[in-house]
Amino acid sequence: MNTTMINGTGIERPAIAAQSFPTLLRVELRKLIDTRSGKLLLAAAVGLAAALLTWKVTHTGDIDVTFGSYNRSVTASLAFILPILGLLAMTSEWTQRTALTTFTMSPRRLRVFGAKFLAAFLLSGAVLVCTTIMTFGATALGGAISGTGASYAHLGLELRSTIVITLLQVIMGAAFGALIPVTAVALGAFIVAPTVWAAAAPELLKGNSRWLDVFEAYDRLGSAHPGRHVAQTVTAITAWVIVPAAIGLYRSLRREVK
Amino acid sequence: MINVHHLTKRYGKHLAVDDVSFRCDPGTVTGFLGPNGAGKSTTMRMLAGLTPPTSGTATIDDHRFADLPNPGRLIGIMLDASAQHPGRTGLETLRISARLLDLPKYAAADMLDRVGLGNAMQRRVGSYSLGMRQRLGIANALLGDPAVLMLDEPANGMDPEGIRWMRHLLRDFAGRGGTVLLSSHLLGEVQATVDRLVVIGGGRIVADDSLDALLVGQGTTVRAVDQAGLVVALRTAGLGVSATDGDAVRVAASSEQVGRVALAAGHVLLELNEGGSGLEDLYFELTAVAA
Repeated sequence: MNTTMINGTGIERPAIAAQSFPTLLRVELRKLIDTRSGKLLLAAAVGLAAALLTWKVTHTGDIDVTFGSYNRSVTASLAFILPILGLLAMTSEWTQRTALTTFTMSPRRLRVFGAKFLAAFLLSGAVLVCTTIMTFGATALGGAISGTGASYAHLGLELRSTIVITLLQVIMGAAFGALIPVTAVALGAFIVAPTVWAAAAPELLKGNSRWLDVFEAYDRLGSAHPGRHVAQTVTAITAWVIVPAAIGLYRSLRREVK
Repeated sequence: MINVHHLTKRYGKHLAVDDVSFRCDPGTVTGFLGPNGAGKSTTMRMLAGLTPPTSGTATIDDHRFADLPNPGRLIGIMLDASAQHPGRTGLETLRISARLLDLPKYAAADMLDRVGLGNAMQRRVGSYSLGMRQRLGIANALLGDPAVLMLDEPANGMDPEGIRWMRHLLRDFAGRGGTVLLSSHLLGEVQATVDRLVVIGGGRIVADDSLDALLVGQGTTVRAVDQAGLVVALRTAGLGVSATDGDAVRVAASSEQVGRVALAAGHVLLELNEGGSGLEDLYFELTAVAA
């Protein structure tokens, strides 16, 4: 509606512009960091990386200082914490019941969920940039302290691996959050289900367990040969990420807001 | 203007809202009454696009809610004051809305001053009382300078000062040409605020008229020094008299008719009230039929 609208008061008002996607994105980004829990989560991600790197630097010992070894421990911690950001972005409104306000102010829910997902994704990327700079600094410092210098072998592969694994984990967190709208339950399921499955699947499926092992799929994608076992990779990611995301989104768009 | 047209919502076998139609016009405050579970909130959620109706339509100024480019600029809605994030400050809550409504940043603080939360805007909503959350919810509804307001139980948890403040605010809003639909269980407050009543019971509309017209049908409450003598005089005059609780009686006539009978018989009246405490009785009468 770009024309001038005459509303019920009979007073002519200027045309009202539709909410743009960038506006929704800015709002959702802001909602991720303006609460105590949001700030704590970001602080935890950066703080844990800082703690791990400090430990590495102060315990160089006789081992060669490599960017890869520093980076891998940071990636492991981020791959655990950042998905919670994606998960919270999807569950928070339902759990806190703010969905009632959000969806009366922005009734086009698909755009709102798109903005939420992208906001979590961008914020995770920002944390990654921050921790990667920290990792570079710590590696250089560790190299200087050990006296033998630092190695930056396979730098490109290391960085790609971190980005792929962490962001895929964020997407999976968001998918679980979309599927299960209660934060505590979604978080529990996200932490427990893939791990339990990874332990149980080799018993149940024997040699075929690779088809549904999502962590192995992430590791493959982050490795030097991302195209290896591509059918298994696609199957595992479809089962653990795409299916929950699709079902969750479908239900979120239709869920009655109470 | 709010237009609800044959709205129906069915949950399995249960008809929560059954063919409900009503209209709220500019310049009026409409009270939406009904017992819990009668379908009030479901109707309001359907109006706000939060619940898809089984059939029927609801429009705001002839637009379906889903078609509004930025709904908060046309209709301010508060459906549940407690549905706010406890971790945000009042100011942050409104700043987010201001951004969605495409308003300048200062609009949020200005509005919080207007609703009396100026001193509390930096506090987290988790520390707000229910009355303060109501004010915050009302601030959020008013922020986009809408033409229509829809509030579900806004007086709930408010102190007498807050209730009076809200009554003035809503009368003023309607006085400037706005349309208000509000639900409430505080019948005295409804009677003091609304022009029209829509009463829902068992999912169906059981009354839809101006407050005055509905209350006139309730007759007149009268109390005299010689109550027994007055009752005799009223019955002699052919007026129907029914007892109420306390020592007053309800007469099925206008206050003028009752007054004239009392004057002719020389009775000293202590109370003469058309409609009187009628809204409560009217409410139970209407909703009992539906149940």
